[in-house]
Amino acid sequence: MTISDETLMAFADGELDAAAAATVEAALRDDPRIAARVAEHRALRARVQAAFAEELAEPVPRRLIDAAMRAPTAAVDAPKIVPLDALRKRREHSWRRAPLPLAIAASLVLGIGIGFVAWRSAVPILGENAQGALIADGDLARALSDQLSGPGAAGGVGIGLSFLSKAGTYCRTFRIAKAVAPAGLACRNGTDWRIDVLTQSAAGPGAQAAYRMAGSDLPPAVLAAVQSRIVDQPLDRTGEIAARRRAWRAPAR
Amino acid sequence: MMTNGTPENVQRQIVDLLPRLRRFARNLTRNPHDADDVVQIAVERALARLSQWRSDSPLEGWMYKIVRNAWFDEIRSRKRRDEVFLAEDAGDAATDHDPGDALSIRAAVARLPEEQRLAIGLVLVEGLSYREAADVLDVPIGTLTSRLARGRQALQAALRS
Repeated sequence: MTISDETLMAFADGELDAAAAATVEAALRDDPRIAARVAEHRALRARVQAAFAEELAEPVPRRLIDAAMRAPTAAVDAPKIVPLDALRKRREHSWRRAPLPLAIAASLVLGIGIGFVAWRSAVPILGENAQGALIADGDLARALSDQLSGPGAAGGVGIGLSFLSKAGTYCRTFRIAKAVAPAGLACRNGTDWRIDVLTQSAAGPGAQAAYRMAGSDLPPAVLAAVQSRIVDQPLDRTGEIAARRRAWRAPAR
Repeated sequence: MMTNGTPENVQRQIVDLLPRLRRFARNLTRNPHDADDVVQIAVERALARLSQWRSDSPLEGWMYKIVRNAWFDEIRSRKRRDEVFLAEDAGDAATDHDPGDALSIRAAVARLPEEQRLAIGLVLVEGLSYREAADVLDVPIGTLTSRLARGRQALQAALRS
């Protein structure tokens, strides 16, 4: 019986399934040439591996480690994440402060700095529930409840990914055209959409144009939040339609 | 299965992979400076696309693939800019002060055609399975296997002479 050199190579690399490996092993016992060939393949592998091994011991340049450890929120051109707990604290805190000049209130955080009332009127798509949690309101709430994933109407709200979270609720990423808080993640909380993550424009509304509305193209901060919450895969279209029909009540677990 | 999937965890895993990513990138670019640039680009891309990584699949395969794609993008844009200075005669850069067997093996690998060089690099050097290597290179497993076999034959011939 002849066994191809590719098969002997795969055997030497441990790539054959049990049956094929048994065939080679039998042949190898009978034919010293086959045994020699397998040994050659193994020897070459070992030599190549050894020849490149020392590269692993070289120190890695600092800039590469920094690139890997950079907070996802600080990635190039990404808007800054607004940690909502900090944001709420800041809001309570800054009630008593002197108002900041409106001209520099280009971001949501600064907008909150000038007081909740002014902020609310500037961002009519956000509200608060009775417990003081930030929730979606107006067009954003409607888009989260009604729209399937997609860019949405021009100038409106687009929906990125929908998924079931570890907390057992539905969450959806969103993007708002021309808003100071251009993207975020909302999770279902009763009949509200609680805003879990909101990104802040780094450089004013103009900078947001660079972001396209695709699930894979959300700001890193939002993607990181999705990654830490998601169970399984995002919903496909059928899954979204079914979830919407249930008014985004999660299936019983 | 998602327990290791928090962004911080993944970032630390990427740091651990950096020596191997650099080594693969050198095999790919045959130029240590290009290699580090390409790894940096790949790491930034990976972090921006963390959600696309399925945490039940090996992170290393995903990262190798991003490195490879980053390099191919770079080659394309250099060609567009008419600045093709790819190290076609390379192999020297990585092997300058390297004695004996390792020197001749690394030089022989660097002289292989790209397809064979990457197959050898991923399977023999980086230790990926045929399946994983085929996925990184976006080719069927049969194609990977025959490239690997041809690369091995060429290496054996080169090292015998």
